[in-house]
Amino acid sequence: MHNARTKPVIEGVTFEQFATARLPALLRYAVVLTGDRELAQDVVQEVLARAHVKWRRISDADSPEAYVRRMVLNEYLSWRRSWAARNVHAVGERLADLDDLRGGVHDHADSVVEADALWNKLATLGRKQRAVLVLRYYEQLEDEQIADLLGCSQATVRSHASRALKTLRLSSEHQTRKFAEEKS
Amino acid sequence: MNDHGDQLRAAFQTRENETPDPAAVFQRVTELSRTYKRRRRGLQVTGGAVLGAGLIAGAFQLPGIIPASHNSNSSMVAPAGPGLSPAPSFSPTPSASPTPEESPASSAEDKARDAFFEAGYGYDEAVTLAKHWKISTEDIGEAKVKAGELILAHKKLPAGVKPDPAVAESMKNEKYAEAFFNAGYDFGDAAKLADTWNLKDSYDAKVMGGKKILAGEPMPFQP
Repeated sequence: MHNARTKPVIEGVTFEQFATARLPALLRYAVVLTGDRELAQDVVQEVLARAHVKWRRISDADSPEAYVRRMVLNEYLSWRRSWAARNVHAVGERLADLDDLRGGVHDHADSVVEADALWNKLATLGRKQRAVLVLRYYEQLEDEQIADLLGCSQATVRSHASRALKTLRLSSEHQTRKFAEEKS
Repeated sequence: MNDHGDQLRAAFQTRENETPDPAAVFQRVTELSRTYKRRRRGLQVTGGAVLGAGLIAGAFQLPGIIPASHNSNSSMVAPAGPGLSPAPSFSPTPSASPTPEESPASSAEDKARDAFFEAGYGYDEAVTLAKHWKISTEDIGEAKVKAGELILAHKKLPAGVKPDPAVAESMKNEKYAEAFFNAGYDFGDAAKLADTWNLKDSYDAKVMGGKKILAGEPMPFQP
């Protein structure tokens, strides 16, 4: 879990300095959030272009980076342009992978393949469910912070997470593996 | 960390570095923000270098002046994920550096580029056109501008490229959404307006808000 709290605001950092320093990290965040390289690019481009226009206001925020990351999250959640076509395509491709996964006992030595397969399964989630998992397990935010970011209650966050994990069948796979390990 | 947390982190790590080229993204950001700024100022573009050479030079030393943090809520810096890959820096390409002052020519280019996108054309069509005109795909922006100029002159584009009506419609909505943001409203405002107007989501609110703003109609509240 994260333990770092607010660091002192660096004053006088220009948009260009900010973007140059943080763009790679923002892109990684967007790739994980969207699950789609091209969508991640579109989202980050759109967000940074708007952030540039109102940078003076953003740079006055307690945490400009948190502000921009929130913009990325919101942009992803409300993104419409070309999203549907891409998502349907991606999910369609990945459903085959999902089928391959069902019922299999996982080998720890095959962890990379497992991680890759799980990444593909993540594409079957709704945007909010995926966002909750990314914020909870990638960004390592508390449910309270996630609720604040998504503008919902903590109970809703837990509900999204629970449904997402159920969809991913992580619990059952975990149990299957434990069972297999106990038997061996 | 629990078991599924570990599994998910591993899954995120497998793909987190499959990012687009930051330099190319930055170049597009500068293009887009120039357009947004120009629209915001109503074509009255003054001064305002988008990216000065000095700033680029200074950016290489940023890791030293901006502290790293593992928390996205911290100020200025948050790596992609705690314990995950460190953030590599990138260096913007020279083409990402606009001229110190935006000239009437660059404004005309922006207008042409906008016309290209707003007509429903995109990157793929620009690539086709670039090949047709024997323009290097590294100068794809040149093809967009040239095509945009033809569109503004009501001329047909060569090479059989066709606009996508859905993209054109989408671009129109993007313009409304852009007007919404340019008026000073943000995502939180859009969420409130979606509730007020009983719309499905905040995007619809951005579009409706933008339409009202451009039509000079009153908004429920000020940004």
